[in-house]
Amino acid sequence: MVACGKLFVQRTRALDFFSSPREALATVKEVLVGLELGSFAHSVKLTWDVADVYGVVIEEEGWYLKITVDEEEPELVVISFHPLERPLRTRGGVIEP
Amino acid sequence: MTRKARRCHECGIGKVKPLRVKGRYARYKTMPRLEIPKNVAIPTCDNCGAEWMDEEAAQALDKALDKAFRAELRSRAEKAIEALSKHVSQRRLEKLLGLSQGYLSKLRSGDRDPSAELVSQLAMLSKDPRRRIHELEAFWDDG
Repeated sequence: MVACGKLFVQRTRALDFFSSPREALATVKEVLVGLELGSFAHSVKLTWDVADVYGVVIEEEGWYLKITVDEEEPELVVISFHPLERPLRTRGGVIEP
Repeated sequence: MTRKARRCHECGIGKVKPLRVKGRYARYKTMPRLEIPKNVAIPTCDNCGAEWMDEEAAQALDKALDKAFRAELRSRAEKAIEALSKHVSQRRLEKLLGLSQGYLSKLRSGDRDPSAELVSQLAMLSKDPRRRIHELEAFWDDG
C-alpha cells in the first residue's frame, strides 16, 4: 500500500513536525517501509478502528507512530507520527524521547 | 472523477471532505507558522475538524506553501533593507554581504527571490543597524 502511495496521513499530528509536507510524506513512507516487529509497542482500540503503535528511532530521536488500515479504501492511515513525549516500551526494548 | 468521502480515523464518525478556509497554519522550512492560502483544499473531517493528507493534497499544499514562503521572504527582506537604507548605502550593503551589484534593487522590484539565509542576515543587521554594520565591516576588515 505504501509503495503504491495508498497512504492517508493526519496533517497536524504527523506532517507538521517536518519542514514541508513533501518531506514529511517521504519520511513517513521511509519509516513505514522499514518497520520491523521489534518496533511494535501495542494496539489501541479507537472508536471505530484498532490502531497499532510503534516506536522508531530517527537520527537518535525516538518517534511515536500510530497507524491503522482502512480496509474500505484500502489504504494505510497514519493517525500520529511525532517525536516521543515519554519513553515507549516496544518489543525490541524501550525507546527514549 | 469525484471520489467518495473517506471516514475520519481521528473521531471515527465524520466524513473527510476537501475544505477551503482561512486561518489554517503550517510549518514550512524556516517558518513555524505560515498561513495556508485560503484557496488550498485540505481534506478535513466535517465532525472533528482533523485535517488529512494524501499525496495529491500534500503536493498541492507544498506548492501553495512554497509560493507563500517566497512572498513572505520578499516582504521581510524589503522591510529589513528599508530599515538598513537609513544607515548604509545599498551598494555598500551588497559588498558587505557578498552580493552582486544591483542585486538588492532587483530583490526590491520583485525580480529576485531572496534565500532564507540572506533574509536571516538582513534581519539580524536591521535589528541594530548602526552597531551591526560596524561589526560586519570590522569583521571583513580584520584580515
